[in-house]
Amino acid sequence: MPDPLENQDDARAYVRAVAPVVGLKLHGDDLDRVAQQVQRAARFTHRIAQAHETLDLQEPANVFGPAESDKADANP
Amino acid sequence: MTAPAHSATAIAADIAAGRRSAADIIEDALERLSTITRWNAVTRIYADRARQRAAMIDAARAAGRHPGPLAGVPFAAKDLYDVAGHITRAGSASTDANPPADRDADAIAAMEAAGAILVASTTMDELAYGFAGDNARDGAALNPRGLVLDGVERATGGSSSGSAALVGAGIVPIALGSDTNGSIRVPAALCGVTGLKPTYGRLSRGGVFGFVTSLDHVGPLATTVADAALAYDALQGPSDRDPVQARRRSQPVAENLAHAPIPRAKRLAGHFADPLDPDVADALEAACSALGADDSAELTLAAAARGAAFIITNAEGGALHLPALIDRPEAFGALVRDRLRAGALLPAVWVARAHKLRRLMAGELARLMAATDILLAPATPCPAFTIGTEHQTVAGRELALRLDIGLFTQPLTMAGVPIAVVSATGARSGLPVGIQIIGRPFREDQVLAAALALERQGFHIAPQMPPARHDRA
Repeated sequence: MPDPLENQDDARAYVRAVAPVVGLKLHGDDLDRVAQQVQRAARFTHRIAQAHETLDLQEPANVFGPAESDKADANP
Repeated sequence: MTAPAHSATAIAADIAAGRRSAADIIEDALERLSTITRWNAVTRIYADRARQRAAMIDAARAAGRHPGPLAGVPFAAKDLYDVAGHITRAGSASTDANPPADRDADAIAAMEAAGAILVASTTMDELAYGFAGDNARDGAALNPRGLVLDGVERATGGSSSGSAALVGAGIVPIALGSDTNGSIRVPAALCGVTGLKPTYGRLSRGGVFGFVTSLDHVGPLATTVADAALAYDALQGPSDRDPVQARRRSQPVAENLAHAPIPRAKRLAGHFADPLDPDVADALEAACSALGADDSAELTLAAAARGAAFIITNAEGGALHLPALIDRPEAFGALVRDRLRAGALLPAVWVARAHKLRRLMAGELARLMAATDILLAPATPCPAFTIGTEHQTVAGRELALRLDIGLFTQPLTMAGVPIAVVSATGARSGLPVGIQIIGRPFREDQVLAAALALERQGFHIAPQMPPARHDRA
């Protein structure tokens, strides 16, 4: 199912509601352009969601092999 | 095998043997740099500093001391590496009020400790957020390969645009770049040079202007594979300035590179098979043939991983720059400003899913690589495009070039594995096309061994300075 924010009106409403929460003042064309970017991100996140639906979500082992330190363990 | 005369390997050998002086090498590089202001490739030239360093190298040699494996080799660095005494621009007016760096980035210090000499900082996409190699303030960097071919102003790719241009033109044999979603690999391919994105966490990013700390890598663009190996060796080493750097011993690769066994190879299919310009498809076939990559493997999560890279990049970039986006939005180029603002608004659940996808994709890639040492994939769908082109049809599919030129690099960034790019000239276009050589984590030795094997099979384009009419404005 597509993410709701792939819809232009929903994306615009979302940006209008959330932008002030983080301190951004967006109006008019600014708001519309940012909403378009959110729509684009929503399309990408839809792909991620589709992959999640079809996968075993168990975390894989550390693919970087044996760590030489705790720091290396922290790497993805 | 003799090193090409324009390579870092040859320059360092000449200086160590006393055949040339570092001072002469640097004067030559500075003269060339002074002629290319029109290319939008350079942000700052360090003439005094470079001459002082050259004098030190020549004095060391005269005193009988070995001047280092990169002695007298001029190099450049993307303008997100700190250079002491200068503001790190990161391609954005939003950095104009920042204080000058109080010391050099770790990578610059490491290169100079090996004898190399910094001559210039180079242009980039604003804040490293772009694949096209253009910049709202600096303009689009000109690809020297296009200028040589027919004078058409083509994109370098980005975001390490100026670095790739300088290496492609032979002005410096090595330039430092950074790679978050493909910013070393894309310009290396379009400018016909060797690029190396090492393993995530392998090299210190200390003193480098960050973009997406979860995905940022530093690495070299170079004239030859041997030069990339020399730079990679110089750049290794511990630092306390990068909290994600892996504490691993240095593992030099350059010395044994020429005699290293050729790794087992497979081709990446699926997402990486389409769309391909015919020149890219031919180069991929040639690379697979040269390395005996008869089998293919499919990374089923590649498309989703690309989406996840987009989300993580957008969200982390937006969060990083949110204070400036609130206080000084006019300091950002319009395109970057809108994207970063959107990134600051993304739902947390999207970002969490993206990170989970990242680990799943890295696991899938690791399973694929249990049966091979390296994987081969195209670096970009097509060769360099004319500056200003927004869309292009490749193999029947319309690509939005600003985004889709990174179609094949962006997913792989998520796994953090080492990837080299080597290039060949396309028979139809006459332009470079690049191949990604993907290895296991911390196996830069195998990646570079495969790159060298391809270089020996013709995946090398000698740097060439465009005709003088393309120089001074």
